[in-house]
Amino acid sequence: MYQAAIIFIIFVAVRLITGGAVFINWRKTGKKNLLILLIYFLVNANSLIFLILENLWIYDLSSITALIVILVFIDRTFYKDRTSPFKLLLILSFILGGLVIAFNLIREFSILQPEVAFFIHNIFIGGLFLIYGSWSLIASGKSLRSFISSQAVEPWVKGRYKLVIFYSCSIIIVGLLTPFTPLEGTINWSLLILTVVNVLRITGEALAWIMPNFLKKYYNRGYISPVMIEELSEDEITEGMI
Amino acid sequence: MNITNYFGEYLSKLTDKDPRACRGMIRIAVKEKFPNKTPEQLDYNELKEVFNTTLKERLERVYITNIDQITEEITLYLVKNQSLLTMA
Repeated sequence: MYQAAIIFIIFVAVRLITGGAVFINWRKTGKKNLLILLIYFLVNANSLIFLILENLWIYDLSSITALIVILVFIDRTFYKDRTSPFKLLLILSFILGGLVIAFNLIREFSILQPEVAFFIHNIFIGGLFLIYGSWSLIASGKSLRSFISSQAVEPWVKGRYKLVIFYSCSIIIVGLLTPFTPLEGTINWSLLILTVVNVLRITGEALAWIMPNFLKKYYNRGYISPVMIEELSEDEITEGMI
Repeated sequence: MNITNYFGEYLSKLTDKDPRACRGMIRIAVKEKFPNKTPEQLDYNELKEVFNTTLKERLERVYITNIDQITEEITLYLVKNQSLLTMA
């Protein structure tokens, strides 16, 4: 358990650093959806803290909240003025969230065998991850496809979308494996794979949203912008348009 | 990444005019509508407003034809690529 706590503490730290980078970006640009993303990272860090403290109630509530917040972010970032499954996914998430809490109660009051109640509880948690991962994958994948061949979009931006696709796939795997997580105090194959996949997911999310300079430079190596450095004057622009 | 360049390229395709002039056209349309904002600070609704007001007026001034259709198409392009305003 001690090793697990250390891993979770590292996860919390990475989450907070990522949140810090999103905060700086939000302050710089004033974009409201970045504030939503920041809330997601903070709530997610909070849920991990309660996982370390072994408080499954607050962990569940925070995880459900984080997953609902990220759905709002996806909707605001990718789906303004277009058909969005947001309302449907939101309703589904609330239902799954309610079932997670219900089966936590059932487990707590030993209405069912603890293993059975925990397994069903984890199926619903996994369902929430599947909703988030799948929608994030579809939204980012479709967007990337629409401009992947454009020279006007810098490679690091395309790289950021690829990272979003990567961590969305990781989240889907997390969702698929969550039902097989064992009860507290035991370790099995799924928990080991989940740990590795979560490391990849959290690293992917951090790299995508921090986008450190070295990675930006790596993506942009050899890239020559089609945009001329010098700006045309207003008269030159008018001339060019006639 | 300056997002207005991306839409400037598209405006160039729609109007068949010099890409540099089209990029500049969007740049000054943004400046006119939101003088205190940089292109990176523009959100979806603001850029949409630029396309439907100052850019449209400026296209009219240089006698571009089918302005309503061009405005509609560049707005649809924005809807399709709106995530770039957050991700770029």
